[in-house]
Order: sequence, then C-alpha cells, then structure tokens
Amino acid sequence: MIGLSRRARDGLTDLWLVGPASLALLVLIFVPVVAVAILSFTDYQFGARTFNFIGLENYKTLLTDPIGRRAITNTLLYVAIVIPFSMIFALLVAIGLHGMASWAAPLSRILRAAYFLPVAATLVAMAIAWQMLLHPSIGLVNTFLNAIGLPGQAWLSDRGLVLYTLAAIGIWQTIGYNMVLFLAGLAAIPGHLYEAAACDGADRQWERFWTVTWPMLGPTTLFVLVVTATNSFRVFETVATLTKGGPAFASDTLVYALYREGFVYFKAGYASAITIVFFVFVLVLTLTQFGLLERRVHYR
Amino acid sequence: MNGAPVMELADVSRRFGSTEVLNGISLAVNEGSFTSLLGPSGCGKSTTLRIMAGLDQPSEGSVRLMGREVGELTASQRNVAMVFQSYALYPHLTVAQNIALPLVMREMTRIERLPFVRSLLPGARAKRASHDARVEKIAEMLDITHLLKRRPSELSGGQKQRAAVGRALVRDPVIFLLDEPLSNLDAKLRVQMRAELTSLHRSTGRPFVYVTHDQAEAMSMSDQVIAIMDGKIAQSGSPRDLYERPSSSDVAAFIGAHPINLVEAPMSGGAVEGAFSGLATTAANAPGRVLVGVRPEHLVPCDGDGLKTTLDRIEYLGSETLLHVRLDDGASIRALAPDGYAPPAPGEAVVLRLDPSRAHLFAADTGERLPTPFEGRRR
Repeated sequence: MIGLSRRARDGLTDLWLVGPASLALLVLIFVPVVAVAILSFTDYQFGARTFNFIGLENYKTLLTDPIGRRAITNTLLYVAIVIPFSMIFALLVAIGLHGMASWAAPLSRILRAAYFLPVAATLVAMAIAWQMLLHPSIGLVNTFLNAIGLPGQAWLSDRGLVLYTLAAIGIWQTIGYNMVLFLAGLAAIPGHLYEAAACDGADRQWERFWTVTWPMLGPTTLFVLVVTATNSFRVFETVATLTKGGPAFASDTLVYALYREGFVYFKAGYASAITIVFFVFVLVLTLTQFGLLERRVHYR
Repeated sequence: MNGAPVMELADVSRRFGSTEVLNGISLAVNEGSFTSLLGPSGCGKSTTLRIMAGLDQPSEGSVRLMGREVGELTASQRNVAMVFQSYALYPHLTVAQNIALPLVMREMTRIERLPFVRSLLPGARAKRASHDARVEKIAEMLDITHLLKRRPSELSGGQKQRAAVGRALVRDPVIFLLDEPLSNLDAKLRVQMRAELTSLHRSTGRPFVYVTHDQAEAMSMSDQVIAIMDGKIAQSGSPRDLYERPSSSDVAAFIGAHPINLVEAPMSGGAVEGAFSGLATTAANAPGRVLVGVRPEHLVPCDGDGLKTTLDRIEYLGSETLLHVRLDDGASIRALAPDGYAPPAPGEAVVLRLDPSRAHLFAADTGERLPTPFEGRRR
C-alpha cells in the first residue's frame, strides 16, 4: 500500500468491491449470451458431435413457421393485456387501500396482505388451484356461472379463450406486486401538495388525482411498467403447468416454445434463436420506455 | 388598521386522540391587519392556521369568516390563500401553470380542462387567454416574468417563494394565510422578503395571518401579535405591548432580540429584596418569591450608583457589546453596552444602571405578571 497515492488506493478499493460481482456477471451472463448468440446461427442439437453454420435459417423459421409466429403473437397479445389491466387495477387497489389506511388501518393491512399473497406464493402451486377452479365440469367458476344461468366455458381447452384465461391469471398474480410498488409511491407524495391542491380548488377526488397523485406517481409508474412488461414477457409457469402451450399451440408463448424446442426436442440452435428474439424484444421495450418516459416523469 | 373582523375563532379546541393541541383559542383578525401567530415549535400555531384555512377541523368551537360560520366549508370554498413553508409548488407544472391552477380549477369545467379539448373549444381558449393575462400581471408584480416557463426544480428558494405567493395572489382571496413562509430561506433573503411581504400586504389591503417561531419577524411585520404557548393564547396585542408588558415570564422570555434576564428573588410586603431591592409590586397579596425580568438592553454600564456586578466575559457584536456579568449572590445575567464601550478585564467590577420602569416582576410559581407602580405610565 505504501507508495501508492490516495487516489490509486481508492481506485483499488473500488475495483476490489466491484470485481467479484463483475466477474460473475461476465462468466454467468455475458459469455453465455454470446455463446447463445453464436449457437443461434447453427443447427446444433444437444449431444451432437458437430454442427453447421446455417446463417439466419433459425430466425427465418421462427418468423415464417406458423407455430413460431404463433408464439410471438401470443406473447405480444398476452403482454398487451396484462400490462394495462394489472397496472390500472393495482393503482385503483393501492389508492383505495392507501385511503382506507387512515380510517380502517387493520382492514387495510389485511387486504394488503391478501393482495400480496399471489406474489409470495409459488406460482406452480397456485396454477394447480386455478386448474381446479377452472375445471370445465366440477370447477367452481363454471358451477357459479351455471348457478346464475350462464353457460360454463372450457377455460383452458377452448382455443379462442385459453390465452385470455392465462392473461387473467397473469393479471391476478401481478396486481399484488404492482400494488405494493404503487403504495410505496403514494406514501412518498408529500401531504402539503394535497393541502395546496385543496386551497387551490382541486379538492374533489378526480381533481386531486389528476393534479397531484398521477403526476407525482410518474417515476413509480414508469418502474412498474418496466417490471410488469419484462415479467409478462417471461410468462412460463402457468403455460407449462396448465396448458403446455395447447390446445394446438393456442397458448404457446416465446419462453415456453424456447423450453420445448431446447429441452424437449433438443434443438439447441433453434432455441437459441428464440432466446435472442426474446432478449431483443425485452431490451427494445425497456429502452423505449426509459428513453421516452424517463425525462417526462422526473420533472427536472 | 382596525376594520371589521374578517376571521374569527371562538373557543376553538383541537385534540388528536387524547393529546390536546389547542385549548380554547379565541381571536379575531381584522380587515387590513397583519397578524402573527408566534410561538415555539409544537405550540399549536400551525394547527390554528390550518383550522382557519379549512384544512383541519376544530374538535370544538367555531370558525367565522366575514361573520359567517364556515366550519363546514372547504379551503377553496372559503376562498382563503395559503403559502406553505415548503412552498408546495406542483413539480410537474411550470411556474405559469402553477400560478394559473387556482383559476383553472375555479373557472373551467372538467371537459374544458381535458388536454386537447382546452385548445379546441373557443370558450376554453378565451378563459385560458384571460388566465394568461392575469398570471402575466401577477408575475410582473412579483418580478418573476422571466421564470414563468420554468419548472419549480429550476428555481432557487426565493424564486419558489415568489411563485408560491403568486399562486396565492392570483385568486384575490379574502385572507392570506402564511405558514412560516420564510424559514427555508437564508438570513439575508429572509430580511429582504420580509419587506416585500409587508409591501404586498399594504398593496393588497387584505388581512395576512403569519405563522412564525421567529420573534423578530413577528415584531417587525405585524400590527397584531398573538403569542401561543402550549395550545393556549398567552398574550395578544401590538408588538410594543408584548415587548413592554409581557403577560408572563414565558412570553417575556420569547420576545426580544436578546433573551431577557430572569432572576429569582425573595419578596416581602410587596418589595423585592436582594440585588434588585427598590423594585416593588402593587399587587394586593404579593407572593414570597418573584422572578425579576430585566432585558439586557435596559442594563447599561454606568459610573455612578447602580447594580454592582462582576464581569465574567464579553461578546463583541459590533454595534453593541454583550456583557456576561455576575451578581453578588452568584446569579449570572447579561447586559448590553453601547458601541464605543471599553470593557474592563474579566473579574473587574461593573456597575449597571437599571431603570425601574423597564423591569418586570413575575410570580415565581405561576410566571404571571405582577403589576408595578409604573403600570400604565407607558403605552
């Protein structure tokens, strides 16, 4: 240590702190990503001794093959449903619980825990519960529908319905997490802004929301949007446990297709191409969200 | 200055759970007056202001505005303006939009406030033009025209303060309520803003209620000071009243640039004994022990007869010198010597002249003021 300047020593400390994690990141994330990117241009299969470079053939298959395209459009549709609904419902629930905390704190806490339960619980176990609820003949949902005179549905085996059913479960599962984030955002809004709004005539709920709550939640909303988007792009557990992508690929999604192609059919090259497409989707989405919105929500 | 009462509180109490924050507050703010609510932090002065504004409801008692009971009215229905300690500007709006917000809320419908619609409907366009003109006028008055397009995060403390005042001014409220508006500014700016607020008060002609814990602000700006302590009004009156005839030792200790000397002394038959003998009370049944209150500025070193003390140390303040001296019985007090005074070395004797008419006597147990023979001669 002696002989080194203070700056050099500080620099060494920084390197020492950053080093191990960076090394792990490099070995466990960046190197595999590069390997996957290279594999996506080959016809490599697990266990094979050789492979050939086939250029963009895998990507062409994914984008032209009906099954591949199905996985992409299904994923985009799923994301397009889950993001707005899980965010709007979560915001409504958060505002309700935040307001309730001032006059019925215990009830507010109980409801908060109830909404958060799906986040804390194992999704696979929850999926089994949903499977029973949605069973066409003995499920609670159809029993209830029949009781009020509506026809029951084949929630998980109707080709036109299954993706929406999965999206509904996705929303149910995401609300709790988003709600907690929104609650934190609401708690951070300074009370004097609401008081100023009350003096300025923005004292009814609607005006309060648009004058203070919504603008002040900007950074929270952006964060929730990014997290919800990446999480719903990764939808896998519900598909794997409830539908296996069926019936007839009606609920096939990118990550499930990747799992099937890579670990059931051992088509490592093709699965790598799916991975890269998935990666690009999430990256582009996140970058646009940050690029477009970040400057607009921080008011600096 | 004494017009009709604009804001009146009658027997207002406020409890949060079992904690009593305000206890029987009754006061009146008259047309054109500048009233300060003065007190240490936590005394309830801000709560009093919030009750006036309609941001808080009294547990008991009534609030009257222009003679009308307003307990059930919201802040905007009362048409009161409030300036907050933290300015409470909306960070997502420009200064111009911040100032115009009360107008937008009062004069435009929900439809007209929608984005896009507000630039399409002719009615909404006309209203916006009139708002812009009024904002422009206010900005000129406050000298912030060049800041109108900026966001609050791009402003300095003093500029934010002006924008917040602009937002209060724009609606032409019946009364201005200011909650420690200067306490986040640096000392120099504070003095400057004091003068600006005073001239603003004069030009609007509206009553101002000003909450502060800084006695200098209260004394220099107001025509009525209401000292609040422990949720009760300790004394109300002109700044001169509070300075010259404090109703209790607590008020006396709170008022004045240099803290008052409070020395406990025995008393018999209404006459003080010990160092301050010569002072007396005219109270019928005088207590056995009193607090003698003498402000440092009323104890001046002199050559002749007077209070004999020993100098401990000095604080040189430029225009004056603060002397820390010790009485014969060991009590430590402060005296103020004028500019040009050559202090002796510490440990030397200093004789102080005391004008008995400037001394106050308080009961040692209750802190209540005791009348002196000079009562009524001043004022």
